[in-house]
Amino acid sequence: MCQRDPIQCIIPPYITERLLRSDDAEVRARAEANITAAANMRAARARGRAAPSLMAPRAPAGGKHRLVYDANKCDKLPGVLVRSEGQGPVADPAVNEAFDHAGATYDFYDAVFKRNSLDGDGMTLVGTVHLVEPDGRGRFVPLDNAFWDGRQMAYGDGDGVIFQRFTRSLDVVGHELTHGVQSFTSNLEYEGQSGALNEHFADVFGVLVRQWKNGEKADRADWLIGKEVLVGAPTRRGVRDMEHPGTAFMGDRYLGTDPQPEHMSKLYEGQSDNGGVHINSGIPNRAFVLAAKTLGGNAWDVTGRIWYDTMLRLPKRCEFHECAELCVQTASALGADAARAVSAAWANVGVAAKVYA
Amino acid sequence: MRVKFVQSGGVVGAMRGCELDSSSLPPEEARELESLVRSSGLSASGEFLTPAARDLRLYEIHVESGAGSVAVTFDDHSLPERARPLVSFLRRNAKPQGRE
Repeated sequence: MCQRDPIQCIIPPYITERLLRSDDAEVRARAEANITAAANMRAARARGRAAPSLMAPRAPAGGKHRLVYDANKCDKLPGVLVRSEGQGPVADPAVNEAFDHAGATYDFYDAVFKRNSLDGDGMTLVGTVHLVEPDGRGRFVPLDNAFWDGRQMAYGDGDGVIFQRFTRSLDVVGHELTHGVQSFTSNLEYEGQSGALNEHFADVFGVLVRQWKNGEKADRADWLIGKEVLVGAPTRRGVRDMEHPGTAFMGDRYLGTDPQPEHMSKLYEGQSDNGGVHINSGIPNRAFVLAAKTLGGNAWDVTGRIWYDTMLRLPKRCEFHECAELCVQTASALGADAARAVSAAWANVGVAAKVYA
Repeated sequence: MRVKFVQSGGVVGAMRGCELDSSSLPPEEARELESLVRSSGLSASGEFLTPAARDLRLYEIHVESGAGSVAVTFDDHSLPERARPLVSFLRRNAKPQGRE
């Protein structure tokens, strides 16, 4: 039977306090256990915030090292180990996709940016496939999502109606792993404009992993994120379109219409989605594509390098204009033409940035 | 009893939601909604998010009833066990939402 992990289901304090006063001894015992688990988790998170590498499992040989687990129809992480570094393919395509796409992402960061894994120090890449979630009626159903939990990736299989298994998409795997890179670098706060930049960099390096792997040049790429995780329908092309934000899905019966803006004049200012982190990322996404197409060639060579160096230097909390200025400043080291192209790209989406060249 | 629900986030980032008023629901659904709200244990407002995680789905629930008003936000990992049946019910009633 699939038991829930108390570390993965934090009970708000007001509920725990009420449970501690329960007449039922078993309920009181569970509440006490939850307090202990929550305290341990808070301590682990505090250690992680102070020094994330303390939470990172190191690769035995310091190089590429992948571990893929199967959740085995449970919602607990990591699950059962099913493939390790050095082992060949298995019968389960989800396992092989998680393994291969994590490998491609590792190779991309190593070859293009000389970065040894997420932490720059050979961190093991851990992923879990076939994650499920409770349906509220006592059963478990395939998860319609993929996420980074702060230590590892996790992938659901989708409902088979709207979503397919999330491991199918190399750019989604690259996206999740880039959240890991960011947790060891800029660690952009996950709300408002800094959160949208966090999502933006995850999309940028997710799509660049795919372009690098497939040899796609900037002017030939489709700039779609996650097209392989959607069950085909005329109303959906991907989960995001970096070149034309707001057009990835239109009038879809489940997804609705893509809410991403392509310009600052349409910035989402609501509270949902942590202040629109998956919505407003459309603005910097389009700036990146415009810069990449102007500079031409392989997007990972010049534009990707500018964005990577910018990502490493950003403060934890920053707004689009600060990111744009740092981008232009970074580009100016490559010459006036690069700085002008990057500045023009940001200006095109309504974000002013000075040219430093 | 009125319940407003918004689901957002996840790697997909699609927004879905619903607004339910038990006085205008069929009696059986109204009873189910009121029962699920009571058993959810949600009695105080707050935001409960998992700090290090990225791309979890977020659930905003706003309940107005004779007992007062409660507004909470959870993510997939912080959602209390007792509130999961309520969120599942609301997700089944949710439809795509535009930006507000």
